Amino acid sequence: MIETQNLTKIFQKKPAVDHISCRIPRGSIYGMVGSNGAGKSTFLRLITGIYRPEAGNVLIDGQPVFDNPSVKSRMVFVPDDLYFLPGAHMERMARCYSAIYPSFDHRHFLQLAKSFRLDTKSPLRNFSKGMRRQAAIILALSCHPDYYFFDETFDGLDPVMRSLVKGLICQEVTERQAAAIVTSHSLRELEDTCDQLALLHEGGLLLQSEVQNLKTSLFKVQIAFNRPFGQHDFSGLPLMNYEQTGSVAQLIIRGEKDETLGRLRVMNPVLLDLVPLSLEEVFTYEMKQLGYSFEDVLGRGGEEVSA
Amino acid sequence: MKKHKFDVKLYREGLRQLQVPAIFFLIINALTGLLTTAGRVINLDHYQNLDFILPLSSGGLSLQPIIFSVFMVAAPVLTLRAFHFTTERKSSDFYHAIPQSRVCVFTSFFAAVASHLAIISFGSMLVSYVTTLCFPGYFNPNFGELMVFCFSMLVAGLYVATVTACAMAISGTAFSNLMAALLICFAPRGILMFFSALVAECTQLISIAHLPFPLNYQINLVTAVIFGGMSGDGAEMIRSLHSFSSIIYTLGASLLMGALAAFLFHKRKSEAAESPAVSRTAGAIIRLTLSFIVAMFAVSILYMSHHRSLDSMELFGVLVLLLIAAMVFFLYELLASRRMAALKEALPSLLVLPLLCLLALGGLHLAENRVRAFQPKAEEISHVRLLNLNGYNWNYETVDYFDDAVKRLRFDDPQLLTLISKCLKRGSSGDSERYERLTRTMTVGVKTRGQERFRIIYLQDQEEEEILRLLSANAAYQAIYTKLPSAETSGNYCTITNWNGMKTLPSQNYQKDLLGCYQIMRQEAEKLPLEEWIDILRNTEDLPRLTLHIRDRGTDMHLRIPFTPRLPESYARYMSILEQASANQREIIIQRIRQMNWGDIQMSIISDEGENLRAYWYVTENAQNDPEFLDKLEGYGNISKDMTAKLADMLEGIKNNPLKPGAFTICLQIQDYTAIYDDWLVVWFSSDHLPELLQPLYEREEEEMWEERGVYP
Repeated sequence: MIETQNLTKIFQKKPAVDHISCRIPRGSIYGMVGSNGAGKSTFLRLITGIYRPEAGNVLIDGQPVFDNPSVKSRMVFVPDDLYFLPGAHMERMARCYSAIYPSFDHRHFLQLAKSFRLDTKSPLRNFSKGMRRQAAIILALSCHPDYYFFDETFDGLDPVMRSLVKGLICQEVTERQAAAIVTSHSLRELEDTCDQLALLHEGGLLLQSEVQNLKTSLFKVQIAFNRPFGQHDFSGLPLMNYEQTGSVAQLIIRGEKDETLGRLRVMNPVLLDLVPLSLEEVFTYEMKQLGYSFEDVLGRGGEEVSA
Repeated sequence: MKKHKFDVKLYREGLRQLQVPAIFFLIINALTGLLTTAGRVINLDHYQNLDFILPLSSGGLSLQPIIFSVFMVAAPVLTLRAFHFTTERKSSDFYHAIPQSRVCVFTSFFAAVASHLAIISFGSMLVSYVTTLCFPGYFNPNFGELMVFCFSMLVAGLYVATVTACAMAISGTAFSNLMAALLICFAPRGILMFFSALVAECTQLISIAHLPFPLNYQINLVTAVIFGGMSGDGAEMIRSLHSFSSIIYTLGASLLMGALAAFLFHKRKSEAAESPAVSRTAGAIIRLTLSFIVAMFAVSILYMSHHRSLDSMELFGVLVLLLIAAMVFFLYELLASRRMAALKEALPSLLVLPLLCLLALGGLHLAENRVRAFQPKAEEISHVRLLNLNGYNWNYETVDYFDDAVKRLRFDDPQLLTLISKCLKRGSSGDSERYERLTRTMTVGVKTRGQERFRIIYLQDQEEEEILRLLSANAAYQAIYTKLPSAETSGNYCTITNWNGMKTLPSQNYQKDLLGCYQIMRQEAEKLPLEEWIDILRNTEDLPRLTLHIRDRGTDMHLRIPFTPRLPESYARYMSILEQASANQREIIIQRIRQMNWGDIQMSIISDEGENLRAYWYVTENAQNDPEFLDKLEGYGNISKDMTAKLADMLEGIKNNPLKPGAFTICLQIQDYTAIYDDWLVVWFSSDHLPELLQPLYEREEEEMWEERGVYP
């Protein structure tokens, strides 16, 4: 279990991470989205003991992380900006990892390298950006840690490799009850992988929830009547959003789906359709509720939602 | 638990990461040692062809001329390489994320640096040592002494490495790492030495070579080499490298620095990578120290003019220097941070610079007052030491045996203490004109109230004589001069030199004879009254002399005794050795002179009384035949083959005269530039009377003096 309490990190008098509290159980994948500068990488650096927090604390299985080798030996961090020894090839890096991580499995490393079709004797400087990222992921997975931290890891991977990596992470989580925190600036990257999602903005945690809850808590209904109608006709329902174009209205409703649909049917609509909501749409409406614009918070991610 | 302090696997990983530069340094050092040793053997063979054999020095620095690179280059490079991750965010994050504590990362990687330094210093020296064993007879290295030397190099390397590690712990870019390392390593002692030199210059009472512990730069192996090298005192520098106290001090300083570096690494933030300094305070200290180094020259102008008003030029100089100091302050920040905005942030700390200058100026005045105020009464002095009693040791490569022995003695004779007290009081008065009237200076160590201070005292001739007279009554002092050291100690050897210091015999071939001669001198010394014996030792300038070369704790020392009729037995033995060496060479040198087209000829004519006439001739085919050539004493005169033929004829006439006491001894040295080997060839001739050809030499230069002494032929 990863637990943070009021975790705060300040750079040049500005909070990069601002009083974040969360709990991430083992056997789950925790997705964290946010625009550039939202504090995702800083949060991961705090949680992996790279940074010392200005306030609050990070506990993994009840123990503090900072400068604590026994806890850190059970975690591995794949940062956004990868580091390899100068002039090293994967085999050399594997030797380095085996000196550092007690649980490094060299056989597993070779198997993974074979699966990814990477030459372990070829200098990493000759690798493409995506191949270097694959190499870093292979090295991390070969450590068999209890906790994985991936910062913007899927960026630069082609769809096939992305799917392979996601599969491997899911396998580690389900088979070994590991936990993983994956950050991205794109919600779509995390939607199909994560069990929990959190949204970071300006160092603060705006929203966090289980993906299943997010997907089932809101639903969209298209409705039309053969008479004039308006938002006031639905005042008894837990409406999150109401939009009407001509004689057709779109309702975003939080609540029990069957019961709400029953109440709408009683109103004798000429059109009543239940339309599935994407995770981006759920986030958009949830944040609107909180007074934020999803487009502003996620930047390009928001644009993707609009598109 | 072990990964909190040290991790063997991480240590091995550190060794692997450093192996490329370390192997490079090892190969360079070993190859240099190998080539130097082999080269010296070839050089020696070259001398052998001309019947000159010089005993080869087999000290650490002689066998490994670039051994200083262990701490000057290898230590900082390996440390910068080992902790390179502190200068880049991504690598810093990597090493801060791994399951080893920060202290563990530091100790494991530092141990790797230390191991490589040990391999480089001991490994390369071992190669040199083994090479010397391949040439038996050429070298006589002392394995234990070489190991001590290597250990001191390793300790110096550790010191530089810990200093560099400290610098890396407080700064976050390669440039700021380097600057901080240089500052930590040299700034404290450099600034201290600069200010000490100012006080020394102003008071003329102290010498920066004799500052008390821990101000003395020779106590630190690194500063001993750097500052000692700058001052040209090679012998003291080598002595420091073998000094137990210097090694222990530097090792202790390394341990302290290492502990500090470990602590700073523990406290260091990963996010400090790529920043000029880990904190604003650290950055300000680095900038201020750099600018203060420039500003202290302005302080020196202000201080040196403190007894008078500052003239306009000096004032201009002070302002310019302070301006440059401010520029250095900003330039460093700009180079380290590469941000213009950083200059504005750094500006407030510049205000500290004038305060530092004022503090330094105040400190200088305080130090000067303290130096001048040291005027102990004789009864307050527990003992004195005389550090350069003979004062005629101009050879910086080796140390005078007697000076070295005397400076260890502690004198507490009340009369001597009174005299020294009087001299100290006179010096402290600040009357520099009075100093000039005094002929002799001496550095003394004066112990009062448990603390020894070193001062320069100024003596009149009669005061010097009085000191020597008082010393003669001291049993330990007597023993130094009368009980000469044994020549049989391993590594000791003898050479004989002409009046000009040139070696006049193949010393290796005649080593047994020379050691025998030294043995005779020892016996003669014991028989002579001390005053006469010391007088002989103090007047060697115009005489040929025997030098006993002694190696003591890595330091080459020399003990010189002149060949003079005042020591008749050794003088006769000397003549016999010379005759033995020269008998078969005379005809050779005469033929060489006849054939010589281009070269140098030197001639010394030594009378039994020790008087010495010298002539130098430059032989060239193109020289004008100068009839006055023999008049050109103490300088070069060009002579042609006609003259060399006359010279050869003259030598032909005396070549069968055996060398003996009472006759004129003619030492002829030639260097033929057209010969394959162009080294000096030395042969001795003897003549009961001065040959006619050489008469003008006498008549011109020394006539009156020689007549006075009744030796004019």
